[in-house]
Amino acid sequence: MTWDTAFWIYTAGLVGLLLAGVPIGTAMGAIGILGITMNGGLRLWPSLGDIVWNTANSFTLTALPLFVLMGEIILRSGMSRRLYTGLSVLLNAVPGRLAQSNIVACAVFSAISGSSTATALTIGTVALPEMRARGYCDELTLGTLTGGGALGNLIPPSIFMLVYGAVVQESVIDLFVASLVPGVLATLMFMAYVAVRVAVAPELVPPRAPRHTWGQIAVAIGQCAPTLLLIVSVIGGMYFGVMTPTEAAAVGCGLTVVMAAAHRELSWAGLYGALKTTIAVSGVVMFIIINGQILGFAVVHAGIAREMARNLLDAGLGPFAFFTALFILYLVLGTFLDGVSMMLLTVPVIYPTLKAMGFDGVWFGVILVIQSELAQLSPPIGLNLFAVQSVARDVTMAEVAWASLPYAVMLSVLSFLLYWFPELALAPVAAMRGR
Amino acid sequence: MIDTFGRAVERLVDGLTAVAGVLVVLMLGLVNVEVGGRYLFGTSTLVADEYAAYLFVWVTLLGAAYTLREERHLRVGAAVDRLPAPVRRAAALGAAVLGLAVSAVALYATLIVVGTSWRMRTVSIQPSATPLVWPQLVLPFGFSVLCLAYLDEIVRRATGRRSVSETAGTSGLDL
Repeated sequence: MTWDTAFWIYTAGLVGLLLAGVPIGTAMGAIGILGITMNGGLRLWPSLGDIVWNTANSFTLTALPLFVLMGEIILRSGMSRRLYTGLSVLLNAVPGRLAQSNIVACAVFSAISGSSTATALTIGTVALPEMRARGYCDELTLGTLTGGGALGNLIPPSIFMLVYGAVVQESVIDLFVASLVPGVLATLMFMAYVAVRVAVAPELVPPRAPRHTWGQIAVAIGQCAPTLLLIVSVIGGMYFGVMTPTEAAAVGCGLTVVMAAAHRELSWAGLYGALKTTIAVSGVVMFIIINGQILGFAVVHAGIAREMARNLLDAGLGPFAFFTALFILYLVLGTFLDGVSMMLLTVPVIYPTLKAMGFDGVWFGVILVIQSELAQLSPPIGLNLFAVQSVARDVTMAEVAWASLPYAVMLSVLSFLLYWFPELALAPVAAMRGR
Repeated sequence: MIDTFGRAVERLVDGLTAVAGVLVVLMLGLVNVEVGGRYLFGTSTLVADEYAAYLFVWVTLLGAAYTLREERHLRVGAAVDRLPAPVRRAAALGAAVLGLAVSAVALYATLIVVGTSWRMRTVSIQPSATPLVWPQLVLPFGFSVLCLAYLDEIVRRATGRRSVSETAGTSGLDL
């Protein structure tokens, strides 16, 4: 079977199964097994066992359940509420006030959790009732929550980056460091947008509250301090080479348990619930990764990756045209796939081409994570949209999607900024390596 | 008979989920001991990285059936969810059959891996030189349980019965 026949069979099979509602991991595994069988018969089936073992037995991926557990404990204890309350006092003078608190709280929470959906859900649960009670416009609130949530994977640590690093064998610490500046840039863009929006339409927010006393500000700093300590220990530990990502996740998780226990805010039932969610999330991600690797093996074995790379190079596409084509491809895929599935489906074919064209693998990881965040904001299955709608049950999905649109546009702009200025991602990595 | 099978699978999945939860806590403890030992006492366990990875394999495989039962697997529902109920039921049944087929192939392939490690007495390349057959055993075991869970789901969907947890009204309460 020629590579192009295999390509079309795999593509048609995958699209058919996905549209029929087959779970994404199952669809990838089924097409992978079918492809391997068509190309090599049953003799290659034993290789699947090695793929499963070598994929699952990864110290890098061990960080995944620990980051998930840390986020779950923060969600189930009062830490996120205290962080939000403290930030709302500290950001009282900034135009947009609580709307800005949403974005900053999401950015801060992103720096200790690796998940966009968990970020949107955690901050959304705390922020939405508060902002409605104070009379903030719903559209502004919803957008800051879905958009702020989209910082979840962009600001390290990031589950998406962990998986990408494990799959393409790039350093996870390099990936985390490379996404720091883009993450901060996205946060500043979101905050600037809210400030301009509120300046143009002051009726979106309630009248300014009285100034806080120094005592209130001191209390607010105390409320934010534990979370900042976590960030310093997690990100600082990795950046300064003190800990691996897995160790940073474990230390952060341990600190979170101690802090939650010290405030007597974590019950045994809550801990068991957090553990069950951790098991479920790890299971879902690992199921997709393993099956993605099986599909990747089929793609490589059929010669699709090699031939596709050669054809794309021979087509003479310039780097910008290629980048734009990729951007559009991921934008379309993101409307019906989650970020990790989208990455695992495409990386076996696209990654070799990118490397052949001279693109940097770490830089591409940052681009992919932005595309994955765009997918989180894209209807009909944007997970951030669902997360925020699950908190604000009386608004429609269309309203949540509309409120999120400006943030999706800003993320798209950021993606192209990184194309023109790749050093935004790569300079901190070079600085870290040269330390 | 069918109900007994369903309840047995349900209990098995619950038990394995509890074990997986304990293993997550063990993993957390092990990595913290490694970091603490290194910076406080200048010593290393030498096995933390290796065994944490093994524990992660065990957690995901022991929790695989739980993930399926709680319907946590990601899927694209935009098209199929708009179809009439009988078509949706047929599609869900088909998806479960396909899931069983993929799991059965994985079970076969991982049995070969374990068998090879056993025959060749393969050990890890880490200082512990752990016989790989022990951490690998969870692969065929996890996929066996996953096959049972898929079988239970197929039977349920084919006969239109609800799961034991759905009947008890406890499904997904705390997730």
